[in-house]
Amino acid sequence: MECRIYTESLTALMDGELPGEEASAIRAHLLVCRSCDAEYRSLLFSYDLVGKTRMIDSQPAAWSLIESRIRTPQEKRGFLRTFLFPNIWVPVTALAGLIVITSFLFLFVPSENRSVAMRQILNKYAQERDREFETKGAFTRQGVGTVRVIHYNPFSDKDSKRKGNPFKAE
Amino acid sequence: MAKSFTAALVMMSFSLSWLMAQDDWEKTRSIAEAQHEIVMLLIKNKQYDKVLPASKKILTLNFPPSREYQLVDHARLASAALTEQQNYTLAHQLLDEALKSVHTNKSKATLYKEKALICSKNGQDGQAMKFLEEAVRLEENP
Repeated sequence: MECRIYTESLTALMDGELPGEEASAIRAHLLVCRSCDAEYRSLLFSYDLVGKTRMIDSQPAAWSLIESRIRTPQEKRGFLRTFLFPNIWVPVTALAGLIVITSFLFLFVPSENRSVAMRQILNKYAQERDREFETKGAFTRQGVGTVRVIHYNPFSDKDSKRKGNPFKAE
Repeated sequence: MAKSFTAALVMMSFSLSWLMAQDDWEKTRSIAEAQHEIVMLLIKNKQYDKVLPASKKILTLNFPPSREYQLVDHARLASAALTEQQNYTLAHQLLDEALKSVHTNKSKATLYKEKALICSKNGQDGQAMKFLEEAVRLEENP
């Protein structure tokens, strides 16, 4: 309780507004009370900071400009306009978002038609591949796109001449 | 007499180098042939950890561009066999290695189509579409 009384008078003490007796009493208290002393030092620091700030000389015209801006009433928007376009950035953002989502769906999520077309192309490719391997070597077909190769080696040399039997007697 | 002798020498040196190149190619081809059989056997026996190193031995053999289709065929056959065994990841890895080894856009396009086919079989339609688009792009710029 005593401390609260002293801390309330600290600013008055710093401004030199307290009578001598009261000021001496507070100073004596500050010597024995750590928390009040800390408060006093903190206030001193703040005063010091404020004292260091530089005052800006504002031009008289600036004040009249600010005053006129404050006094000028805001433009009233019609009900329909406020309802339809509450803020220009809201529809703009919504439109941009819609474009991004649509393009994402279009680019990355294949539609049913695109999937069907793709499967057709890949099936055609698989059939061509099967046919190609069929002409090159022997394999069994197990449905479209499935190849089980038995004796087809892409590196085998079919044109090489058969070598004679090295063990044949001369 | 001297001119015809020189001409004969030049022709002989050319044919010798051609013969040497043929011999080199025969060696490379023979290695690839054996290695391909190994790869297919490894896949058949489900020794998947050895498939990629064995395939790399073929892919790093420095095939001439005129013979690149053989590398592509090797990759397609091996990846088809892997896909049959539902080892899609290894099939993709093998095709990726093959893609690093081939140089013509035609070969790359074929390999990308193979990748698209694997994705399609695996139910990855979005990815399949990407690979197919890449294949089409490469085919358009041969």
